[in-house]
Amino acid sequence: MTWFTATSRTLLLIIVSASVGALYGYPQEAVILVLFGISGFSFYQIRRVQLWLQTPEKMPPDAYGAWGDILSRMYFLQRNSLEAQAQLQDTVEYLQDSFAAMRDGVVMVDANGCIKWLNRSLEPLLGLRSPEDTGQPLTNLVRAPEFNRYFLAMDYSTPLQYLAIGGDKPLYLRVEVTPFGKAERLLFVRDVSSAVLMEKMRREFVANVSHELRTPLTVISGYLGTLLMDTKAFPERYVKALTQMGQQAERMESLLKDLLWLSRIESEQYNSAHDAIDVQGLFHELRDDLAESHPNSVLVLEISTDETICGDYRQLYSAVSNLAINAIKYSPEGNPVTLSWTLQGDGLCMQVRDRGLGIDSSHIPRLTERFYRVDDGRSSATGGTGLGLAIVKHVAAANDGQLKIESKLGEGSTFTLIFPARG
Amino acid sequence: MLKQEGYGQHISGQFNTELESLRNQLLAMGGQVEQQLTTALDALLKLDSGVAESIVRNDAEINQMEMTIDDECATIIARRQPTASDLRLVITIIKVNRDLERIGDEAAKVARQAVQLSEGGMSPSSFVEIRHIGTLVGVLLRQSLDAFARLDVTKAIEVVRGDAEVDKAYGSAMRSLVTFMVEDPRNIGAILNEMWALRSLERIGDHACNIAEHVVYLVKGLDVRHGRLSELGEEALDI
Repeated sequence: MTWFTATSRTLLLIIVSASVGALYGYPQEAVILVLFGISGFSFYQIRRVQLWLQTPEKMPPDAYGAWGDILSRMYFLQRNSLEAQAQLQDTVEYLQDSFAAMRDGVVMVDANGCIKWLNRSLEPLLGLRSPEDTGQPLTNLVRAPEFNRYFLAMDYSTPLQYLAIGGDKPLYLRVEVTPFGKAERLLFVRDVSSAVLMEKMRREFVANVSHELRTPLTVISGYLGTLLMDTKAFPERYVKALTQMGQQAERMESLLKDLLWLSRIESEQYNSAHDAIDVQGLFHELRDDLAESHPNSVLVLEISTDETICGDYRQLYSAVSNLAINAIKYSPEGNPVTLSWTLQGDGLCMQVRDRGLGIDSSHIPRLTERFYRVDDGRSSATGGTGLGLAIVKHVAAANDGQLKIESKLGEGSTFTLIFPARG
Repeated sequence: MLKQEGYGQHISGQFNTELESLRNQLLAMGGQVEQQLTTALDALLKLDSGVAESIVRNDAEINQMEMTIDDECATIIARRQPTASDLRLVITIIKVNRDLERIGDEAAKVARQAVQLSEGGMSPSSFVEIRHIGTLVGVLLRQSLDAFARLDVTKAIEVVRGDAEVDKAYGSAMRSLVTFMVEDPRNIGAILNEMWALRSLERIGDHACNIAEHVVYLVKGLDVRHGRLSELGEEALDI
């Protein structure tokens, strides 16, 4: 029943009671009596509504007049909001379930760095417990200094990989952080121990194989050398074969030497000796060495700063000499190769510049891969091992530096090792 | 009984922040110390003298942290006059702080023995005892700090009891090392170094146990030091 009908009926009732009362001579008394009745009825209805609101999920009581309308609307609104709530709850649970089912560890952290939620896969990785640990600052429980520095620095552009001792056993973990909302963060933690172990095995395998192959090869090239010293004892066609065998054995030796050197740099990446290096001295030593091995080369030294860097002398020497020898090889004879040592901004640049063949830009990104060849004819003619630039890249990484390559086909190339200047 | 975040009820929000930050700093220092112990043990087991330098550097950093935390505790006592559980928290932090610093020192001593041993060559025991005790002690330290972070009395009591195992392992390690010395006097130098390292590890175990005892004090207000844990019944601890 609408409000208008209800109100007009009430008014009608009052008018009727007034006229009936007037008939008997008591109009006011009759109206008061009816008004009492109406207000009593209203209070009774209010009480019923109140009682119903204590358990609003039940059907509302039947009510007379506008109350019925109000109650059914309230009930309808309430039913709708309950349904919406249930639906939302389902969605939230569905999302949490899907996170919980993930094999990677997931932890949600609020703006203050306190744990909000974590899934079960995370517990063994970081040694956390759910739900007891919610509300705790994450860094109070995961106390590895490396993790703390990474987590508090708020710079999550690169994932963190570290050896965690907080869980059941030491594990290599990879942590990726995604900020969202108001400084809230979502952390994905993955156990990468097996990958790290594989990588280590691969490195050791290469080193071991190279080492084991070197011994028999020394014998072979030794005998070949002896045989080649007296070539008159053999027919002409054997001499040619022997000479080639000698050359290839030599090539193989330098290949093994480079492989061993490379795996050594890789394994020393984190604990190489760090002394202050006199770059000027290094350049001079290199020039003297190259004057012997490549007598036709022209090496120009440009040293504009007397800053030193911290690093491993042997490694840096091998990197620069690899770059210089490459530059000499790929330049027309007599073209100068420039070695420079300059301070640019807050970076120290060790640069090797040539005006030789140059490299097409499509090759540059892959140039530092092991055994990558720009074209086959070019490198086998010069007798490179294909490991030189890989060595340079790893030396740079081991000494906090970066390798930058710029080149234009036909105009020459510039290889720059950039190190942070010591402030 | 002190509840998690029990000190989050102060009218002064600043006081809450100060206490919280103090606790976070202490645990960050705990993390550094744990790292020191792991690194030192690793150096010893691999006879790698290269890490000694980083350990010395980190030890200086830990000492600095100790001083900062001490200073802040003094400031809080002077400015806030904490009472009840707040006072217990500050007292506990002062004590745990000291224990952690000592653990850092002992870890540095282990590293020093590693350097000496790496110069003298392998010990005949092949460090079986050190590996065993080192692992035990590492776990105790981690658990004691976890107990502090979580205010977990049950775990703290586990640590206190776990220290007895370290002491037992230490005793038997000493006996077997003496046997090595008797067998061949040429080993005495290396074995002595090893014994010093073991001694440091055992001390670290004791300090971890102390930290756990402080946690019981913090949460329950009961002093369980000096073997009083066994006198107190389970009901006194209400766990």
